[in-house]
Amino acid sequence: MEIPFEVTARRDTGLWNAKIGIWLFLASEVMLFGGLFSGYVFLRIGVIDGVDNPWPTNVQNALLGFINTLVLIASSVFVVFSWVALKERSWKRFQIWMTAVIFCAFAFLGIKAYEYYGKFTHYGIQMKDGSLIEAQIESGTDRLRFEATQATIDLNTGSTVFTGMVDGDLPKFKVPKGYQLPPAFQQKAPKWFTEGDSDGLVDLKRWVSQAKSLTAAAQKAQRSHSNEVKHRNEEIERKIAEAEADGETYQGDPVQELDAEIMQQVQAKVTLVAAEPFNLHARTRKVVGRRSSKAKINDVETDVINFTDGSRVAGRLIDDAVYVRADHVHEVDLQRMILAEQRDAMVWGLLDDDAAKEKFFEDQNKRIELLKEHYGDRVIPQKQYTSREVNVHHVHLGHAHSDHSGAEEDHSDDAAEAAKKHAPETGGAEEDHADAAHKSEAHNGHDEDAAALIKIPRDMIDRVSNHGPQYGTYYAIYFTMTGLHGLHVIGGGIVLTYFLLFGKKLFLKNPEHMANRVEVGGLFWHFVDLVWIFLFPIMYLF
Amino acid sequence: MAESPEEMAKHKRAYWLVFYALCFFTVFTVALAKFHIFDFGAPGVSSHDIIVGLIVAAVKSSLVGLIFMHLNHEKGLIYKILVFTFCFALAMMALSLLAWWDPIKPLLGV
Repeated sequence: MEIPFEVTARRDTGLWNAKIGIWLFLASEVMLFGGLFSGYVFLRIGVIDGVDNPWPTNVQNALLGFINTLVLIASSVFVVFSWVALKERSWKRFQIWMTAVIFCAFAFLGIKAYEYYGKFTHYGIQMKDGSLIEAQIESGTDRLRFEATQATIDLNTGSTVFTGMVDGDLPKFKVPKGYQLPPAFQQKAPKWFTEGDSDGLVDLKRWVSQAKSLTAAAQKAQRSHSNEVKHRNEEIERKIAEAEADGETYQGDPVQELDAEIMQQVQAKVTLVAAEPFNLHARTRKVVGRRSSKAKINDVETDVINFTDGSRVAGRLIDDAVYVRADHVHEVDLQRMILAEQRDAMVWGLLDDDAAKEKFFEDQNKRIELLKEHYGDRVIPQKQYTSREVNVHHVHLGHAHSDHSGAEEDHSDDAAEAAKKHAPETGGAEEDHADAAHKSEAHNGHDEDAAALIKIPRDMIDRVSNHGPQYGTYYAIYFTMTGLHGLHVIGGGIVLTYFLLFGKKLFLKNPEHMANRVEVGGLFWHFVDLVWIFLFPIMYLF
Repeated sequence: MAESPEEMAKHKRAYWLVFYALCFFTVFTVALAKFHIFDFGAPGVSSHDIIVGLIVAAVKSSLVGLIFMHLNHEKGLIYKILVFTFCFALAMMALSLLAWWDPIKPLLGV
């Protein structure tokens, strides 16, 4: 079928069809990104104390953003030249320019992926006093390491969020004793549900799923029965009233009692004991209070983790401290503390490095001197004292730590010893300890890194999280907007690659049509560049 | 769009000039945010810097729109579409002003 106006202009619009199509599409794209930018501005100027305050500014790697901006600008000019090449009827030059565009698209996405990776591997560890360490933590230590022996499930939801946090496979569970459904429903339960599989054990998820549906059926039947009785009673009452009004006596059924067998209380929570203990790494975001707690189970004080979905595991807390290697600490952030209290911040006690501490306050003083110079006799605004520039500085640990670990010459022995002492318990098993010690020995030949493992007890921590979307509103918007932009780069890249690989046939048949196609693809590509021109300063610089 | 080789050459020069201008403005924006000598207001990022930075971004996007996207000599219908879009986009940005009257507040409890 011949599609009209691919090359020649329509008389009424003065344009070939694809041109008007792409501009209408770009207009809708302006509204899409405009809405997101508007949302960003709204949230940022609406920030007040307590909620996302201080707003994270200048937290991105501006160099990477800068390089990516240049990459996109270059790709924009390359796409124009690929179009020019087609206008000049040179397929070879088109191929060269378009290959450069595709290369730029890959470079942009590669840098973006590197940035995203950094966000998910760098953590902010905020102490109870508001002081914060930016660092790469030892893998898995942001979670609660726990050895569970039993699990309690809310059968109203049947949710078992902890099963996704178990190390390895979830063991089988014993059939819970004493779990009773109302007799009318007990008989509906399958045999494996009440007696277990051939080994007398059950798969937790399967059992909970069955229990949930039986519970729901029992509750539904109870509601239905209760409503039925209620309606019957109302009917009787109505007839009695009618009969009394007529001066007669109603001879009807007596008021119905609820059937006790049906109405027996349905157990909402059930505890299942595991056939063997299992280890899990609990994500604190899914844990009530973000920590484990103590509870009396059969008169014995036991560690428990209450999950936000209503489920609970009981057993033994192995370790909940966060571990950071000293050379993986990047910044100390005291933005949430007043200047007068910053020297006593909790982080300094943890880092135990006077040299780094003094360097921090040296940098801070330099900044304050600069402000004093600028403001002269005027009062320095409070927001300057709470700014990132004053309160966030890089720290380089290590020098003080070699003193801390002992003399330089027997440093390696101390390193191994310290690592053994501080190694994060990940599974409670001996081999984990041995592995950590082994790892530290591997480092001994190099430097102090094995010794400089900093343990941060959980009771000092207010919050620990990587810089993913959940870290705060800014990060959520950052990922939304740059992610959507990245999808546009991928989409545009696919279309332009298609032109490069499969466009020659059309070029030979109708070069102007091919040029128009590339112009349309190019217009989209420029738009993607245009969005980045705003995203870069907003997200990376200001 | 220009078809003659002379005009094409002229346009190619313009494209490279825009490329250099965009690179220059990008460097300028980074300097604005990172170096004290380019501070327009107080040291560090101030509202003055943000305004200047956004004006520079608007200039950059205008260059891309006018030269790379050929809006400097387009047909009337496209301008109509864009004016319409611009008005709506502006109205949408103005919605953010609502934050002045109705700021986001933490829950204070009952």
